[in-house]
Amino acid sequence: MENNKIKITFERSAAQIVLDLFGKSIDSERCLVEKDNPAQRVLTPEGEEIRLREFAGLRKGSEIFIKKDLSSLIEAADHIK
Amino acid sequence: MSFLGKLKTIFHVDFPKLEALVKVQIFNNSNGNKIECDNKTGTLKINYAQLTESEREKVSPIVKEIYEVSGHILEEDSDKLIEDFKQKEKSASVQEVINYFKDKIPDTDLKILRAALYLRERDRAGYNIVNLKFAIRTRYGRRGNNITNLCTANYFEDWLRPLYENLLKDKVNPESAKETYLKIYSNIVEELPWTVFVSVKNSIEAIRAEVETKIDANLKYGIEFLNIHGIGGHNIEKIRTVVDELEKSYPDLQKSIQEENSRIFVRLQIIKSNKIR
Repeated sequence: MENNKIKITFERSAAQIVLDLFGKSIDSERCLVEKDNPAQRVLTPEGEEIRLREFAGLRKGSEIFIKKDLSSLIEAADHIK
Repeated sequence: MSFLGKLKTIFHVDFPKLEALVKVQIFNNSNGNKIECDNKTGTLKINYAQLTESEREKVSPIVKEIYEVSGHILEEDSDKLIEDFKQKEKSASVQEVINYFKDKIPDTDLKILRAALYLRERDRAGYNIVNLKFAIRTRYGRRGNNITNLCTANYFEDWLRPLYENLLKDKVNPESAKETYLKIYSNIVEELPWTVFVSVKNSIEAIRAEVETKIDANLKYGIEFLNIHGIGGHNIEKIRTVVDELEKSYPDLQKSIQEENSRIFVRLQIIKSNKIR
């Protein structure tokens, strides 16, 4: 019962910890990159790069990274129960 | 074993007053406690900065498991915004607008409209909306800004909906009505022919020029009015100055002014024989 309703969030201070858990890091321009291939930047479904300060989280559907802007969050809201 | 059970085992802590674990929140603070429990909200807060390497190794797979179950992991402020957005979008008045326009306007405009309706709800609840407005303008440019302004001033309900309904009455074929509507609608959201929205960056001269240009253009199509909107003391002052100037130049211009809660709405009625310029 508990496990079906539970959710997880992170405070801004833990953004890099979350990225690390999902195999990502940041490059010299503070953009999200693949930890095992730092030349490969992480992109949103719209093909946009994400800076650390813009990182709002991720959702399933493979791994969809979410940017912290209103339209991206509305888009995410449509897919989040 | 439940997630709560697993976390209890790792930290050797019981949370006797925690009835159900609703949320796990990760933070990273070198001064905080290792784990904090909020019984009221059913939240366990885990401070990664205080965990030992061994604890991190045990907690991290649980974090990923919770992500797998819930389907997402969100930054706290973004989670709050999404929850608030979902809540406000459920309201009957917002649903009515979205459902009415969803098959009548382009998909991108519907996205902008949903964002604008959220902004309007926040505005009505008394929150500062400057950042939300900026976010829409940054993402969608001038069209996004115009749709937001039209939405916050209720033009979608009061003007754009009746416009479609009148076209339906006039046209036998609904598809033809829709096609015509889309053309008129696009012109309205691109050009704002009936309205001038005054922002802080508009000078008095620029406002007056825009008002006169739109009045001239409207008269050509038999539209004998123009609405001016503004928010904030400085904008109200500029609008009143422009209206005073116009009245001096064109004495037969009729106006009605509504001003409340730092907002002004001016409706100028143009008598055709007294056409400006």
